[in-house]
Amino acid sequence: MTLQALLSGQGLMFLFFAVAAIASGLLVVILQNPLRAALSLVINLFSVAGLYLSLNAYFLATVQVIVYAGAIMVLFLFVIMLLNMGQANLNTSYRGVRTIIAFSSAIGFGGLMSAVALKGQPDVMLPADAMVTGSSAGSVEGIGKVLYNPNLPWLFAFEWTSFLLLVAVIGAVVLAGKRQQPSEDKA
Amino acid sequence: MSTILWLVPLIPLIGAIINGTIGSKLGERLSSGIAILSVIGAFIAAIAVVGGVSSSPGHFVESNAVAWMSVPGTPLSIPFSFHVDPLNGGMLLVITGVGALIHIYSASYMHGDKGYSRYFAYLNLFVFFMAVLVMAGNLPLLFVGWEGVGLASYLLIGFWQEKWSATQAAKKAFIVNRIGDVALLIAMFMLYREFKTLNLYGDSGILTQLTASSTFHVETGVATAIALLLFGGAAGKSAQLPLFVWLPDAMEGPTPVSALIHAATMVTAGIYLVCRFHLLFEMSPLAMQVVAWTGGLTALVAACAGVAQWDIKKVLAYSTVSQLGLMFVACGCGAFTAAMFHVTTHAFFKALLFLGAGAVIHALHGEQDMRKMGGLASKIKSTHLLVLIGTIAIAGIPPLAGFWSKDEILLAAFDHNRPVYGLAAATSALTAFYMWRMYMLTFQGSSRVDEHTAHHLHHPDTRIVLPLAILGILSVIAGFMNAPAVGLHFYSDWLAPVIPSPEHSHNSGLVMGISVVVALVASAMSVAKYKSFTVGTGAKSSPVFAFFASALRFDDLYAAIVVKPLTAAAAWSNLSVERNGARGLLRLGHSSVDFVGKSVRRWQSGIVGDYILSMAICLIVIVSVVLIAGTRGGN
Amino acid sequence: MSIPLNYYIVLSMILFSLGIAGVTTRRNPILIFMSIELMLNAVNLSLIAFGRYLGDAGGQMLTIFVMAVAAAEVSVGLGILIAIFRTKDNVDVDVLNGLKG
Repeated sequence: MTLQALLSGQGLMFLFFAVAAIASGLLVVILQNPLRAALSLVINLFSVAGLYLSLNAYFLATVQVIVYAGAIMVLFLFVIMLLNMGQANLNTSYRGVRTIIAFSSAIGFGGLMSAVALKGQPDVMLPADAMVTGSSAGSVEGIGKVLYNPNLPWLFAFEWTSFLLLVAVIGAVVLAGKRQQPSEDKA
Repeated sequence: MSTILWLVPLIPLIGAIINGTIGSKLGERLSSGIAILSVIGAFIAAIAVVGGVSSSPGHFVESNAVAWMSVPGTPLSIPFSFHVDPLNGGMLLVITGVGALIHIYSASYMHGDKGYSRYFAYLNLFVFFMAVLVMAGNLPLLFVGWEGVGLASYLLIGFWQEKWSATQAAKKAFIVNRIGDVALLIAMFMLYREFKTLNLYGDSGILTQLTASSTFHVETGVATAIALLLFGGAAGKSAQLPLFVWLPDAMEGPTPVSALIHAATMVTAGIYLVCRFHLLFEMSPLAMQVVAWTGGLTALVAACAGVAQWDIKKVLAYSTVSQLGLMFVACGCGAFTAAMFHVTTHAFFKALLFLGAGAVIHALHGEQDMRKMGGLASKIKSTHLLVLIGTIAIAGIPPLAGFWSKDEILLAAFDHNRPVYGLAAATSALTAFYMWRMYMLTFQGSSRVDEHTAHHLHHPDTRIVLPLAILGILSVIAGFMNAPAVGLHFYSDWLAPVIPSPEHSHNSGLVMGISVVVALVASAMSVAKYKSFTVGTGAKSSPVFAFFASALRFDDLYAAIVVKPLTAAAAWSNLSVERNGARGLLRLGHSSVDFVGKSVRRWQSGIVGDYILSMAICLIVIVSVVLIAGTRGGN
Repeated sequence: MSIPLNYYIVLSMILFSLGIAGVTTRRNPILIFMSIELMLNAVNLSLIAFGRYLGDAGGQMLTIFVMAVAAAEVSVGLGILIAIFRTKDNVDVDVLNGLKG
């Protein structure tokens, strides 16, 4: 292992965001209060956005902040407030033996997958920044050139994604917006 | 021409499908109309086919439509093929012609029955299968028809399902027939082993190979075995000893069914089978002897039983068994032409008698006991006249049909097998006796019909009288198709391409004389005895009479040697194997499954989180296995 | 000096495992949703890292699609949640065991 890689500027940046992501992720899982867990998730999403930056994915880092940490998290918080879950109106206590099994299997899974990853070539380095050019660059221009290139497979899927979002919007309106008719009340 | 061949079975099948599916919605007129027209259509097609047979150079018409089944690497290849030559062409005309008449008769006879369209569906189905049976160009297809007519017979015997005795009789017919069918199947296997084909006709067909016996030789022992097995099948279908017991019980079905299936057509399938394979039978003197003796004994036993019956249909049933026995006597004596000739004439006069008996029963509101009949001659005149014709015909009084055909058989037996001739002659005498007895009890003497019924007799309508009249005319004239004594031999000429014409016998005059005398004497005795019958005088049941009435107690014999041991074995196995053995095993099986299910059921808690957890654990296991296996493989 | 690819992979695995733990232990459906988002983010991270390593834009493209689908999923999922809450007055997943055989 080349732990000294972490001592460079880039390495320190990685270390900072990685620790923040892990810590906030842990809080998401263990915090009792949904509101606090949601705020931890915001921190987590910001940290991951930072990691994106360290991988030269500038556009995605921006989108991560705007869409995830912005829009989606606002939706979460809105629902939490709508359903009045800010307080412990739910029994959010853990589930005994199940929790132990769950955490141990999660640790086992993570360890195992990491072992798989490390088993291959432990010291593969990411290419230096200077070498990252052209289409693989994470700039808006780079992304756009790839995404909207009719000769590459992404354009078609991208157009269908817009349709998927439309369907989701209509579905959400139908599901959440429909008022129950008094006559349908269960007797 | 070969297309018309397909129409013969197809039209009744369509009729059966229509009547079997939507028949009950059609109403009686439409339902019977479809059935009758379909059989008449088949009759017209059959006439066209037979016309084609007589005009074709090889005296046959055939059609190989599609392959049915074949086994690669073996010579086994079975097409859907039909083949009509003079032998089965004649049968085809009888089946569809008599069938059409009986359909017309049934339209009136079954009026008001709640299973009206079902009845016609079954009847059409029977005609379909019977046509397949006789036209089949190979043995498996013949077997399809063979089983199919058995099915139709079963359905029609048990037509009145709510009658316990009818369902029992249907089962009996089906099961007894199965015994013969097994023999037929084994015969098919052996034929395949010997001839490497199951096709009957064509260049390599079984019958062609048998004809060219110079190039092909079957050992006599093998030929005997095959012939006897074929005869076993024939004995089941044609109700011969020891398998005849089902036919008298089959009278539980509607009377037209008895006329069509259990007198005119299906029961002659066995004769047809034996005649079809006459070359094989002729190879084996032993098989011929067995056929002749079985036929003779059956004829005599059934005739004895016929003398002692009170039920008008039972008389005719035993008479049918007896006449079938005579046909086998003819086969056993090498007179295959005579056997087929008797099949034809018997179809006419026995159908006539059955339908006449049906008309009587119909007139008397279902009364079948001859002790409650009598004196009907003046009341239902047309029926009386036609039954009289039938009686004279079957009794063997010249010049009606029965005389000519029976005389041929007796002559053949006289020339080839004297002891069997004795049996056949005795049968003839008994036949004349019991038929006149039936006639006298039913139509002559004083009326024993009860008051109420006598005043409300059902008078037969046209649809009943017309078929009877046509069959009556045929019963009178059919004999002249083959009356060598007066120089007529259309029928043997017609069959000549398939069955060689018999040589002229110099005993002809003697045998004919004996037959006439025997028939007349027996008839006269019967008329004298039953002229003034009253219930008091005739009903005394001597032990001999009872013995005869039960058909020599064959049913009791089978009950003792087959049914009782089987029942005992079944009871034993029910107790020891079923209740203690199999059920215990079953209980073990189901309780272990129950236990496993109960323990695993907790897994399915309905909580999604648990399912995801299971998924994660399984993933861990799988990845670990892959990882460990990969490590091992890498080293 | 750049960072080894393995670091990103291991980090991604850790975040993903945290998501699994959250999904399997939480009883509040909103928190389960959040844990799912955590897992999705972990996957996105590894996608981008691999894309960077291979010099291929596919990793980033897939990440865009994952985000779009996640947005759709959250909107529909929360809609369902509201509908359930309206009819059942309870959103405890341990009580909602309609899948039980």
